[in-house]
Amino acid sequence: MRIIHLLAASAILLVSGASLAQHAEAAKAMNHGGQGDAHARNNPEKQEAARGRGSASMAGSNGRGDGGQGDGVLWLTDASAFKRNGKGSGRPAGDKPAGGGRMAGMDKDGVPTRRVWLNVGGNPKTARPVTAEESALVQGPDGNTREIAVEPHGGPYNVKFPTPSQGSYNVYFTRRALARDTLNITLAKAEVVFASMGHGMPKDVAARLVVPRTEARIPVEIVRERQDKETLFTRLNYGDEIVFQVLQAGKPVQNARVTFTSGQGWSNSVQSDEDGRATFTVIRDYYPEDWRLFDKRHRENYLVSASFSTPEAGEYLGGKYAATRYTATLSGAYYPGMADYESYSSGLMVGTAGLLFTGSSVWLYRRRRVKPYQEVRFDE
Amino acid sequence: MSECRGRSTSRIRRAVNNVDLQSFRFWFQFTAFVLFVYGGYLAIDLGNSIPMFSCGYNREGRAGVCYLLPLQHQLARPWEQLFSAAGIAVLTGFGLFFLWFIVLNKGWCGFMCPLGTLQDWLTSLRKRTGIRYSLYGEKPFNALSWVKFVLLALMILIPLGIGGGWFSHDMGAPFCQICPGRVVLPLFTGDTTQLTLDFSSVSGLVLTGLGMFIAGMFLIGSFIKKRFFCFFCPMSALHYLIAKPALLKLKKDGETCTKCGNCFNVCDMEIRAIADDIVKKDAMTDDCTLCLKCVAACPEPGTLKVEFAGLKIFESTEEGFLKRMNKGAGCDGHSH
Repeated sequence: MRIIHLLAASAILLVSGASLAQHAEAAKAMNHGGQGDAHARNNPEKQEAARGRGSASMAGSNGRGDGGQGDGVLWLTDASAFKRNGKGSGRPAGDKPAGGGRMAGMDKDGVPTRRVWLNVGGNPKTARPVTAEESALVQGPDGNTREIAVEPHGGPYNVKFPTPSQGSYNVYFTRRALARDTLNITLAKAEVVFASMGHGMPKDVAARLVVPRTEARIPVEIVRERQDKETLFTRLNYGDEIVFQVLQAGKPVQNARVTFTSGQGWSNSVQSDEDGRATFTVIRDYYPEDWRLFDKRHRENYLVSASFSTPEAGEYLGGKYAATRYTATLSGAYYPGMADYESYSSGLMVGTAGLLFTGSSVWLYRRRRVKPYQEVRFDE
Repeated sequence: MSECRGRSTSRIRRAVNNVDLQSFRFWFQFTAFVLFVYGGYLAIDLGNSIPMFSCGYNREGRAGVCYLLPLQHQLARPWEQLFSAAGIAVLTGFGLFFLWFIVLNKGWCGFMCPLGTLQDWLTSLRKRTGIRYSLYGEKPFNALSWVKFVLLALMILIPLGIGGGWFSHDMGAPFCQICPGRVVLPLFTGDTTQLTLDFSSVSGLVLTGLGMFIAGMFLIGSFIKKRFFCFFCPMSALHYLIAKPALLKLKKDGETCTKCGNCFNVCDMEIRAIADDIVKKDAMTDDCTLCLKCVAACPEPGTLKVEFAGLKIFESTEEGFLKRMNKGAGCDGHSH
């Protein structure tokens, strides 16, 4: 297990822009079950303490914590907080039981449905659901967008939408708020993939269903560029490199501060380049106590946020502002890759054992049946 | 005019009955192997209800998917889904599989299956090396011939148990996990990802471990025993259970059979009934792969014949027998 922890720590090196010294500390911290004497930047508890002392320098630093995204960042996810916390039925506020013979995850007409929740907090592990009243926009695989109103039920904000066909759906939540002379525009986006049956679907069709799309009505958004040969059934794995592009009105945004936070709160920030791109590598941050507890379908949610300011001035709800601050978020999921749980050497060893076992069994069987030469003498 | 047509028909029939079955079968199998292992690169997709081991794990090259893979996945759905309108997909899949199957019957095994072809190639390799082959013998044959039916039953019951919540999803597609086709066939397109053990769960580890061990056994087994794996193949068992309405049939006329034993001697599957049973008209048994070697090796005119939808397409003749014998039998008998 210790070796696995060390390997994991090496995987952290994959985070772009991180220094060796930080990761040596991270390895040390992980080797002690995350409660060792690592530096505060790698320790969320100490980070909390640092924040409590009013230290601003932690914000934005690489390591574990909120990664500079702040506790007020809003983001959408299709991972239910109810299930994430291991309590509750998973049925959100405002929803009725399936009933009437229909199955959960389907509407009354039998059309599959999906749901997204609005969370607040820069760390996916500690973020909590929030209430809101704004409507959401849902863009289907066909590129058509529809507005979905949210019933005020007093519970955590969630949007349920039909997914009549397989593909990637974009869900957008926009909030505008005036703070002193700055207009804050927050855009939370979730990419929800609905895939039910892969057999028989041509690869080019499966790839077309997940091409990245943007929505003209959205002022700013983060787009995840697709992996090589990505299809509807491709999952992001530890070690994968992901490229995000920050767009404002469809144009790339340079020098936006882009922060990637892993499911366990490890984060890294970079500036977007002239094409609005920021690249990160997904780290492995899933370490069950015992290998038998390992779940190859274990899902972690990442959170990416991008923020930048512009001198755009104007008026909003009767108040004037001299600048505009944009914040866009995008969440997604990643899983263990095959390399995390499959072994070639063991496989080849067992295969060779099968080969030798059968070969030697046949050889011994044949050898046993060979009768020694016996001279036969006839007494005439 | 009609006399001329009759002469040409009889010429074609004679040519077919005199065919060098060994060469014909080799090239047929070779073409089918290339089609089903590399056809995907030419964008050929024959669907996912193919009644033989066109392995779905050969992701890039496959031209269709062996029906056992989607069947196991479909049966592993939650029961509330499986036994609802969504279960129609299972019936549709089976319907397509059945339509493919009835055309060639077990000829899918003897002429089309890439894993069967691979076993025949390993047999050819053994013959070239001069190593003698092995036989099961009658007692082990009878004792082992039910194994494929047990595997078929497990292959259906385990996914159903997964859907019912009794077994873990890590046991999904249990037969594919232990099938040597999953390990061996993707190697032909350079895909080595199946040569691994899955350490993510105990059941995954056991199944992939068994799969690798059986793949090792398969290579040696097929080298020394003709069609080693076909004897245990659950697809073969499934074929036999639904073979009645199939269009391609192997027929035997017991009255003209002299029990010379040629058909048994050339049978890769050691099916004794092909020589001994002179009562049954339908000569195909559960282990038969419809390779047609028995027809090619039979010297009695019309004793063994192949029919397609009632039409005779290939039958045993004395001339054909002698021609093939003079050329080296055209059939790989037990004497090799």
